[in-house]
Amino acid sequence: MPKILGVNIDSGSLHASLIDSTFRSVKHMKSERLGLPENRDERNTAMLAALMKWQKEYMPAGVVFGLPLQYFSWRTIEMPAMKRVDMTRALFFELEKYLPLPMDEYIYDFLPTGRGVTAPNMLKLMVFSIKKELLNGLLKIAKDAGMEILSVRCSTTDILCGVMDIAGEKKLEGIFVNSTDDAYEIAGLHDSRPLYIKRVPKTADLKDELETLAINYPGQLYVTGQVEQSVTGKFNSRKFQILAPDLLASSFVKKTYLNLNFLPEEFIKQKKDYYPYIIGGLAAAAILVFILTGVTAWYKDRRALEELEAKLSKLKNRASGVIEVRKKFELLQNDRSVLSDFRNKSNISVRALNELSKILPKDAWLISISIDDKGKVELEGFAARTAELVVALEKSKAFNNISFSAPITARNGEERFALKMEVGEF
Amino acid sequence: MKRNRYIILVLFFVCSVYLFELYVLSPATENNRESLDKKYKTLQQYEYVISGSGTIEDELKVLIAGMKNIEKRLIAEKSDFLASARVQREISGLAGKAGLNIAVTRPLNAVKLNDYSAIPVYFEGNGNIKQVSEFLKSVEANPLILKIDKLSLNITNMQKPDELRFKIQISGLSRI
Repeated sequence: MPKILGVNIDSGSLHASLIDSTFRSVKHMKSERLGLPENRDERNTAMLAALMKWQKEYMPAGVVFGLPLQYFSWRTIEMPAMKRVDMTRALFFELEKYLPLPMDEYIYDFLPTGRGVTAPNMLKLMVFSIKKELLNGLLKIAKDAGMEILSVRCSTTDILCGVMDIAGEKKLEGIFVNSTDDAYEIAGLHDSRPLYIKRVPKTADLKDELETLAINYPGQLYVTGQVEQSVTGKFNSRKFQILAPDLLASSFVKKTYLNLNFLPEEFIKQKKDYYPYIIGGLAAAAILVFILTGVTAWYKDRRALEELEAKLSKLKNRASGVIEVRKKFELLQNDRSVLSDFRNKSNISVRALNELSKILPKDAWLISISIDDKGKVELEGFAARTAELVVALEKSKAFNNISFSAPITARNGEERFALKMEVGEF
Repeated sequence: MKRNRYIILVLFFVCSVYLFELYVLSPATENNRESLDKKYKTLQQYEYVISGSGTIEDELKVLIAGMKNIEKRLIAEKSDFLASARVQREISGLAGKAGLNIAVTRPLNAVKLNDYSAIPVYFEGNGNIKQVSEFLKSVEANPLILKIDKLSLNITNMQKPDELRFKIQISGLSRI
């Protein structure tokens, strides 16, 4: 909804403003004031011409009308506390007591203004009503101008809301005065709520009215529009320059604290409730994410596995050939180690004999020798001194673990020995 | 009624999805990961094997060549019996050349060594130390690979110390 036209219709003038609204932020674009003739038909024609001009030049998405208090009747009544929808229905019957015409002839809305005094569960309401006939005339003009009607509002309450926004005070206490073309609209404020509303013609003495009201509603005097300095000077007053049509449009967009809407039901666009759809969509998305996470993980692993298998099958043929070669190599290595072992042990006896012949002292001789392929050697023989033979054998690295296998016996200056040992390094 | 039906359908769908995830998708993913892990290791092994294939092939060629040279010196006879006869013939020939006198020849049972058979033969006889030395040298230098398993030399008669009694067990090697 980018452009909205706010139109404040006063008794002698029409003030229109175009605003640009995006995501509840409002930007003023243009405003224009137009004097209205007193004759009803001429007045309607002038309004139609003005709206058609705006429609033609700016094509606003819709129009928000604001009417001063003179078009409304209002009263404070007490009702039991209930939901807003139920309250609206209940007021239909309750207001019959107060209004001269049948309730079908009125459009009404209300503002809760505080706790009731008749019973603990009662609520005080400020109820505003407007004749349908008057509204229909206004809406017909808008329709004829080709505009969509977004809202019909009470300009006084929307201006009061604007004052609340820019006053910078937490709670407004005192009196609010809005000057229209031919009257002063006065509201007694408590806790920022209008508890008392009155319309005073400009011919009446405003000062007296305000002094009387100030007794019940002490605080500041909040003034919008043209009010004489001689009147405001008597009170602790604050003046505000406010564009009423801008406030009307922005109040519609922002849904203000004092939100009154007098648009007949047939003009209210039924908003589609997207909440269940959003929740449903989010739930579906969550389930989808849940499935997708699992499926994606599975798919990625599966794909990686397939790629790996393809790679493996390519390498398998090459690798199996190499593995065969390796197996063959290992078998051959085993065979070679058997052959090497066999060859290495083949001449142990010869080498042992060779070493012994070098080591044996000249006065020693053998009568028996036995050698096997595990390197075990047994000697038997005679020596002048066996100890010398043993020392010589020990010195040689060719034999290890030398020991006597029988006691040494000596006869005729010779010793008979029997030794056993193991072949070491050659 | 219709709304309740939708709610039941949605709940059924959610439960089905959850159960599918829990009992089908998760185990399948788990299996995939296990397979991936196993196959990745296999792939690494294959790559390692293939990366070393050139070296192995070269080493194999060298090994085969070396083995061929050695295997020329093995007993070529096909049976253990014939191989034993060949060893006897060789040893008798060598002993004869050395001048040794062989009194006893006893073929022993073949011993299996991987793809080879060791064919042992036991000899007993006499001769002097020079003859024994000659014999042993000729055994060592023989074109056949011969291994002296056991060797025993004794002087049996102290009055004739040159006379030696020898007992020797010699094995030849044949390919099975």
